[in-house]
Formats: sequence, C-alpha cells, structure tokens
Amino acid sequence: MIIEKIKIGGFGKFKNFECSLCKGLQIVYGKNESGKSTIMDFIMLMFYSRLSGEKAGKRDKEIRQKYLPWGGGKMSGTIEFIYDNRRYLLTKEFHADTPNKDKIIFRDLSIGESVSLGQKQEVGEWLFDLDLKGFERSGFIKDVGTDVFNNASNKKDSLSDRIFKIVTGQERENVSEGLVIKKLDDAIKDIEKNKGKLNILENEIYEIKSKIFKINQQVQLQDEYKKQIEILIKRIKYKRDLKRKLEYCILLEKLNNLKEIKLYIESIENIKKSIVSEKITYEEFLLFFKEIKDLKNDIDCKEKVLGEFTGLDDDISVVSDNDFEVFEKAKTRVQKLKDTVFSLSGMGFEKLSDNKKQENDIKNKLQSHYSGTKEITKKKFLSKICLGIGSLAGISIGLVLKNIFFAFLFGVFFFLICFLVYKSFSSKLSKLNRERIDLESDFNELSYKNKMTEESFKKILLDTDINCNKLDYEYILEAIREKISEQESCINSILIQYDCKNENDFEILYAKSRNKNLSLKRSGEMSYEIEGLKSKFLISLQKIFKEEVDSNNYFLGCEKYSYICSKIKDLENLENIVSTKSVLAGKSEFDIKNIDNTIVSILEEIKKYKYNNDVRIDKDEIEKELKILEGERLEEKYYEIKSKISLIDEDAGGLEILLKNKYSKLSGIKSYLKSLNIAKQVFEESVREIRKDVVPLLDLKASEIFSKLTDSKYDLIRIQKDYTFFVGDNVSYTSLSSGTVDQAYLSLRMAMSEIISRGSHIPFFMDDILMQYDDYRLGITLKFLDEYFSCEEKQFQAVIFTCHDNILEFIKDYNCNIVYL
Amino acid sequence: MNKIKILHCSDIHLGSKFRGLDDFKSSQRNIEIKNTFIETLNICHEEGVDVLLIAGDFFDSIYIDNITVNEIKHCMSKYKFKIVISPGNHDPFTSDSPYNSKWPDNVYIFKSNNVKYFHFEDINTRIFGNAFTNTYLKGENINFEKDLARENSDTLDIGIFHAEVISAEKENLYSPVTIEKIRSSRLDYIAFGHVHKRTPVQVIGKTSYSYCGCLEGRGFDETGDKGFYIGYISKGFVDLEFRTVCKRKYLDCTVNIGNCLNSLEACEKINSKLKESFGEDFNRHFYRVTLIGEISDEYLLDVKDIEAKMNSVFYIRAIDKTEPFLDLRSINLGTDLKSIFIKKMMSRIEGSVSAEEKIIENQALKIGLKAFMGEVKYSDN
Repeated sequence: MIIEKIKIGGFGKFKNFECSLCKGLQIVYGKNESGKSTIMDFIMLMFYSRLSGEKAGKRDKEIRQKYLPWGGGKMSGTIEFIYDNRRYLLTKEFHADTPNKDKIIFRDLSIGESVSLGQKQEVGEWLFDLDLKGFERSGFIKDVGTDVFNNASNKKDSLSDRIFKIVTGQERENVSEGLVIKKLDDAIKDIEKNKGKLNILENEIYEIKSKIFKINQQVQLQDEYKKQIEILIKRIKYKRDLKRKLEYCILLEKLNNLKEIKLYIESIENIKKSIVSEKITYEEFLLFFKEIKDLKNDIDCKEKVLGEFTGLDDDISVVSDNDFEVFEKAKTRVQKLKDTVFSLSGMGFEKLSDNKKQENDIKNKLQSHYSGTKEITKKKFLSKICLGIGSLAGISIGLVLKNIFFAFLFGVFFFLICFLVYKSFSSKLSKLNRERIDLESDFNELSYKNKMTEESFKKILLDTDINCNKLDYEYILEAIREKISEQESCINSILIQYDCKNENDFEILYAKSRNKNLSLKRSGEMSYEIEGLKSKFLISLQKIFKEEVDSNNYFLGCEKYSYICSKIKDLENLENIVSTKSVLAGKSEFDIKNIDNTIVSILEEIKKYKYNNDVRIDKDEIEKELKILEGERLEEKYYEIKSKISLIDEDAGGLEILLKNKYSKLSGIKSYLKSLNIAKQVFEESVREIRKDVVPLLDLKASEIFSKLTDSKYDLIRIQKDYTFFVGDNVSYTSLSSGTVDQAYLSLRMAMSEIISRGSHIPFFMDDILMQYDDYRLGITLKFLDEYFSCEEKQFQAVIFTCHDNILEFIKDYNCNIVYL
Repeated sequence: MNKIKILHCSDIHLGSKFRGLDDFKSSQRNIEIKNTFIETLNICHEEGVDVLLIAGDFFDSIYIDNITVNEIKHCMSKYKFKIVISPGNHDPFTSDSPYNSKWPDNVYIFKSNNVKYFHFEDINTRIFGNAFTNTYLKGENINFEKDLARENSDTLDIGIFHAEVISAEKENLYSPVTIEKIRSSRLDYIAFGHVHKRTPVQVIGKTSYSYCGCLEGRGFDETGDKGFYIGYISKGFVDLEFRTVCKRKYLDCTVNIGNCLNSLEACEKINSKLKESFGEDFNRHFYRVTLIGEISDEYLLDVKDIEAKMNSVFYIRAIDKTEPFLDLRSINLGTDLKSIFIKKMMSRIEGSVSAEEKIIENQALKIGLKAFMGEVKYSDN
C-alpha cells in the first residue's frame, strides 16, 4: 500500500493541510508540537474510526475532542492511496463524539465506484483484514527497544516476554498468559479443593437429604402412631358404646324390677284386704293372730305329747327299785374287781418276792465287806508303824557297826520293804471301798423300789376291800377272783328272777317299767290342759273372724286358722321378694307412688339412649366384653401414644425445594468447572499453537533484518520456548548495548509487521525511533530501511516522523521524499 | 336463589422470614404483609362480603408472636362477616398453635384432619374443610364422596382446603386431592390454598375451584400480581374476580445491556427498562433482572456493582446472562492469543454434539475471555 496524498480539511491544528507521499522510505520532519503525532492519529482514524481496548468509548470521545479543529469547523480529511494495484479515495467527516456518526466516502477510483462497507466495518479491516490493534502492531512503532526493556524491567517482566506479548496481542490486554492460566487454575481450585465450593455444596446436599430422610422416617412413625390412635379411638368409642348399652340394660332391668315390685306390692295389698276387715290394720291383726298362733302351737305340742303317752306297751313287768339297786351294786363291784386284776398284772407285783430276796443278798454282801475293810485298815496302820520302826532299826544297826554308810544303807533297805508292804495294803483298801460304794448304791435302789411296790399293793387291796396280811401276788389274785364270783352269782339270780337274758335286757326292762308309771299319771293332766287351750283358741279366732268361726267346732276353727296361715305365708313370701328386689333397685322400701315416680324418671332416662326397642342386648355378653376391654388399658395406651405424636418442625416441602435448588446449583458449579477446564485446555492449546507457528517465523524474519541492521555482526535472534531471548551465539539480550537492543527490537517489530500484515504491505510509521542511534548505526539503519522499503516487489511505504536534523543529513545520501511540517 | 359473597385468600404467611433481605427490610415487609391482610378485612367489610375464606398458611409458623396474633384477632373482631380458616402445613392446628386459643365469635377454625363443616343457617351455607394437625397431611383424610354435600339441596356447599391438587393418586405430604375427588365432591366451590401461584377458576363437573395464590409474594418463585378472589357464589354459578392488593411485587425482567461499556451505562438501561415496563413507581418492587446482550470484552461486567448502583430500587438482583461481543471478522483476522483462543473455542462449539456440551463450551469461551480481564471464580450470579 502506498499513501499518495493526505488532505486535512480540519483536524487539530491542521486546517486545509495537504501533503504528498511516495513509495519507499520518506521523512516527515517537523519540530516538536509541529503535528507529527496528529498526522499519525489522523491516518489511523481515517482507516479505523473506533478505538479499542479499555474504555474505548470514552477514549473515542476524548480523541475526537482532542482533535476538534482549532479554528472551528468540522473534522474532515481525505487520503488517496494505492492498494493491491487499485487506486482508492477515502474521505471522512468525523463526528465530534461518536464514531458511528462519521460520514465516510470510500471510492475505488479504478472503477469509479463507491466501496460498500459492512455494518460497523472499518475501512482498515475491509482493506487489510486487520483490526485496529493489528494495524497498530504491524504499522506503527512508537517506542524503542530500551524503553520496552525499561518498562519491562519495571513490570518485572522479561524483555522477550514483553516482545512475545506484543506479538501475541497480550500486550494489549495487559495480562500475561501465565496470569490467565493462574486465574483459571485459581477458579478451578476454588471449586475443587477440599472445603471448596463443590465440597461445601455436596455437604449441604447431604445434610438436606439426611434431614428429608429423617423427616420421612418421622412421618412414617407419626403415621403409625396416628393409625394406632385411630384404632384406639374406635376401640374406646366401642367401649363407651358398650358401657352405654350396659347402662341401658341396667335401666331396663331396674324398670322391669320396679314393675314387678309394683305388682307384688299390689298383690300384698289385695291379700291383706282379703284377710283383714277394714276396722283394724294388718299390723294389729298380726298382733292378735300371734296370740292365736301361740295357742295353736301349744295345743299341737301338747297333743303330740299326749299321743306319745297313749302309744306305750301295757305288757311290761314292773321291776322293784331295790332289786335294780342290788343289781347295779353287784355289777359295779364286778367291774371294779376286774379292773383291779387288770391293774395288778401291769405293775410287776409278781416279781416282788424275787426283788426282796435280791435285796437281802446285797445286804449280806455289804456286811462281809464292812468286816474285810476293817481288817485291812488295821494291817495298813501296822505297816505304817513298821515303816518307821524298820528305818530306825536299820539306822541303829549301822550306828552299831559304826558305819554311817551301812547305817544309811540298812535304813533305806528297811524303809523300802516296809513301804512296799504299806502300798500293797493301801491299794487293797481302795479296791474294797469302790466295791462297797457300788453295793451300797444297788442296795438303796432295790430297797426303794420294793418299798414303793409294797405300798401300791396295799393301796389296791384297801380299794378292793380285801383283807390280806400277806403281800403275795398269787394269793391276793385268788382272793379277788372269789369276790368276783360272789357278785356275779348275785346278778345272775336277779336276771333269772325277771326272765332277762343279759344285763342290758334287765336295764331296758327297768327303764320301761319306770316310764310306764310316770306316763299314766301325766296323760290325765295333759288332756285337761288341751281342752282349755282349744276353747281359748276358738274364742280368740272368733274375736277376729266373728261369725266365720264356730266357738264349738275346733276342726272348723283349725281350717280357718290354716287358711289364714297360708295367706300370711304367701304375704311373707311376697314381702321377701319385694324386699330383695328393693335392695336390688337400691332402696330399702317402696310405696306405689314412689315406684310410679321412679318408673317415670327411668323411662325418661331410657328415652335419652335412643335405642330401638327391637335391639336385643345381651347384658352378660356386654359385661364379658367390657371386662376384656378394661384389660386392654385402652385409655392408658391412647394417652401414651398421643404423647408421642409431635409436630415435625422442618418443612419437607421447603427442604425438597431447597434440595432442588442446591442440585441446580451443583449442576451449575459442575458445568462451570467443566467450562473452566475446557477454557484452560483451549487456552493452553492456543498458547502452544501461537508459539509453534509464530515464534520460528519471527526468529527467521527478525534474524534476517537484525543481521542487516548490525552489518552482519549478529545474524540470529532466537526466542526460546521459555521466552529466553538470545542474539548471535547464545548472547543474552541483557549483555547487549542499548543501541543493539533498539536494533533487535526494530528487527522484531518489522518481522512482526510482516507476519501480522501477511503481505498486505501496510505503510510503516516510525515515530522518532532512531533518535538514540549513533551515527554508525543510524547510517546502516537508514540504508537498510531505504533498501527494504524501496523493493519493487513489495510496494512498501515507510514514514519516519522526526524532529532530529541529523536524520535529514544522513537521508541526503538516499533518494528520499521529505515532508516538512 | 341463594347467593352469597365470598373473599377467598390464602398463604398469607404472617410472621414470615425473608432470606436475602436485611433485618430492616425484612421487618418492613412483615408489617406490609400484615397491613395487606388488614386491608383485605376492610375490603370484606366495605364490599359486604358474607364469608372470608382463609385457605391455610395464615401464619408462617405456629410460633408466631402473640402481639401479631392479638392484633389480628382485634381487627377480625371489629367486623360482623364470618371468617373461616383451614389451618395449613405451616400453621397446623396443634395444642400450642395460636388457633388453640380464644378467637372472636365470627371466626370459625377447622381443627380436625377429617372433613367437617360449619353450617351458617342465616346465609343457608355450609363450609366444609379440614385442618393440618402436623406439618404434613396425607391424602386419605379428604374423602368427599363419603363426607360431603347433598344433592338437590338449596344450601350452598363450599369447601376450603389447604391441599395440593394432583392429576393422579401419588404419594404426597400436602393433602393431595385428585381431580376426580373434586368432581365427585359436588361442592359448589372449593377455595384451595397451598400453591402460591394463582390459578383461574376452573370447573369440573358441578364444582368450581381455584387457588387464589398468596396475598403478597415472598420470593422470586412467587412473581407477579398477588391478591385474592372476590365475588358471588350461588348454586351452580360462580362469579369471582381476581383483585391485586399486594404492596410490592416480585418481578422478573430481562434487560439488554449490549454495547454498554460500563456499569453506569448498564444501570441507565436497566432503569429505563424497568420504568418502561412497570411504571414510574417501579422502584417499590423486587426485581430479578437478567442481563443479556453482547458486551464488549473491554467491559468487565460486575453484577454486584450494578446492584449497588441501583440502590434506589427496593430490591434488585442482577443475573449475568450476557455474551461477549465477538467480532468474528476481527477474530478471524487476528493472530493474537485471544483471537486464536476464540477461534479454537468457536470451532469446538460448532463441533459440539449435544446442546449441553454447547452450553458448557459457550460458557468456557465466556470464562476464557473474562480471564483476560479479571477474576473467573465461580459465583452464584
């Protein structure tokens, strides 16, 4: 592309300004504030109305305000240029604020037609397929390498990194790829890390689910309680119904009972009326009748006794009282004697004589013992004396022999002999004494026993009235037997006299004979008494029943009496029934009026139950069932379960909604996480790609330019994978002089321009980038630029904006167009 | 013909807590809800309503403060019309619920799970209903066929239930009522509560029914106009109209902030859109504003910043659904990292096999571009 003519109608300080440019390298010279930057901005705004980057809108406005024509009027201008062998004319009238309102005329002069731009499409984009930034990066160099380097140092960034950013566009975003990756990583970690957003949310979901589960369990439990309560309520109602029915039954029973009582009372009254005249009361009647009843009982009793007398046997023989007395005595005597014989046999009298003999034997033995003891006692005493004498005799013999030893020896010898004799007598005496004591004990025991037996014997004999001087068992037994025989013969003679077979017959006969005598006397007296009582009985009856009773006819009187008695009996029975029923009805007594009132009130009560009379109610069955129901403790169970029924505080529905929201949030986070990972992955791919595609090309082109700029001193620039930036044979840029760094930077920018513009040959605008070059470098650089941009094939155009005169001096050597401002 | 005037409201949730609102606004909102109900009572009085039906969740919880309950009782006692309440899952009838206390004589409260009725002979009307006695109520308690109305009777039979109308029998803890049950009920009208979104008055068989929704919205799941049904009911004829009484509404709005280059510009657009859609006094409402449009990657959108700047509105929540402005021509031409990244992402998006994948990759593109400008950590917005 070659810009041939620039016409500025009004733009900042320029008004009706016009200049021509040509192919290849050229200089726009002007002092400071002469408008070099204004022209650069004018060219930029002609091709790109809208700025880009942060606060672009605001900057759009600002730049337009900045370049409002100083003398007033509209901002406008025209650029005439050749691009791709076609000539174009671009005329723009800038709006003071808004790029969209710019008036643009863009004509293709080769064909004489306007070029149609798309909506919001910039002229630059249409022509070069580059956005403003691309245009700026490829065509505008406003800084020098050392500035970049210094800025980079300030930002603690490497120069290579910064160049790479410029190449890749990161410079524009003011971020590094590392920072972008870090942001993405941080965001991923923020979600994924332990206790990160995902973890927290999953825990919250777990908690909500647990709560819902718990609520569901509670609901289930509460339902169970509710069902149990319903069953219990039904049972309790049923029980109450049964109780009601029972009450109803009891009322019915009470009613029937009262009705029966009423009937009985009426019967009682009727009976009373039938037996009692109106003049006396029934109670008075009963008092009279009691007397009659007593009389009748007396009569009956006496007649019965009289009947007994009249039934006695007339053939009975009369037994004299004397005979009976003799009989009785003899019988008693026999019995006593027999008892004595029986007693004697059990008391050991038959051994008495043997025991006496034994007693005498022991007595004799004791006597002989006493004499033996006396004799041994004497001998013992003598041996004691001999002991003393013997000892003395021994000592005396020794003394006689005038030998003390012999005296002692003889003394001891005689003492020992005498002592042994003495000891022998002592032991004999002890033995005799022990035997004597045993004998004395036996004697005393036997003697006491015999004495007691004798006394018993004597007593029995005295009781049986038997005189006997000799206490001999056999003898005495014989005497008793004789006595028994005497008495028995007496009894037998009496039995024969009264023709009785045995003693019992005689005794019965005596009893009958005795009764017969008494009865005959008593029956006479009794008949008289009975007649008197009967007469009294009939009189009494007549007093009550008047003519109904004949005072002379006891039989008829008795009939009337029996009739009345039966009626009274009936009354008593009825009264008993009434009394029992009254007790059942809860009262001690009733009268008719009372009963009627009670019946009415019961009927009223019964009505309340509203039971159909047809309903058959079995009271026993109800009571049985109620007993079972009472055993079931229904009310107790009801309150127990009722107390367990509680309000579930948490709202399951609310929790479900919350859970749904959390799940939705979880899904959101997960999808965001996926997106983050994808973004990171794609971003990394992009970085790899840009390095792979751009960096080698950049190295190649920059090396070619750098070699020419440094007069082949350095033929290589390499940007490493880690962005380490080397020149020549692995010389780090940090070791280079600032001039070489500027040259390296220019090389890279020019290489970049070629890459970015992709052969569009966009004009290259350099704003005083050569000011720090020394003369040598300036010469070489201008030479290179002249050659580079004068290339016929490339149709290049480069404009150096400068205020430095030395550049004008150097450029003289080259056929360069110079525009003075 | 017997004809009565009713007012059907439900789900008032007195004493409710408002998540997302600060204490002051939460308390202000509670007072507003109470005042809306009191205003409703006044409307009943002024318009000669015979029966006010409150179909459950009158209170947000049974643990409501006594001061509010007493104030409500006092207000109710001033009027003659009948008030029938069917306690719901939020305010079940329990031993310690405010319902288990002395209420004015004109207030009738159902106390049992099972369907009972109040017979108002003076207006020849029976009101059938039941009560939650816990925070849930399974469906078996409502058995219209067994319990309800008499055929060929001149008496008006109206139902009031806090229940969930479902199309078929299924497990549900909120007193589910099937359409078939409604059909077989033979009630003249059923005033339902529980669902906070109003339904039109529908007719099945001889029975009309509706959910009137809540009196005041309490969240963005309860958007739009809120109020009650008021009108006449006679045998076989229901003439009810919906009337809005809410003090504030929860509203959703989508605003295109495309081309905006900063929060101020975005706020201006939002403001003008809200004013245009909801009138001059738009700022009394609650808004959930979804921001759409393509915005330049030069502008790093911060919804919190926008929310803070829109502080003249009672409540606003902004949701960022904007897309980055992608100048495809420029991207295609670009050789810079961002352009390459976008191109690669676009290629991936085009090759997506599922909609879900496409959404995730679109989001990846947005995140990647945002990473050039600022933080990309996940936030609820």
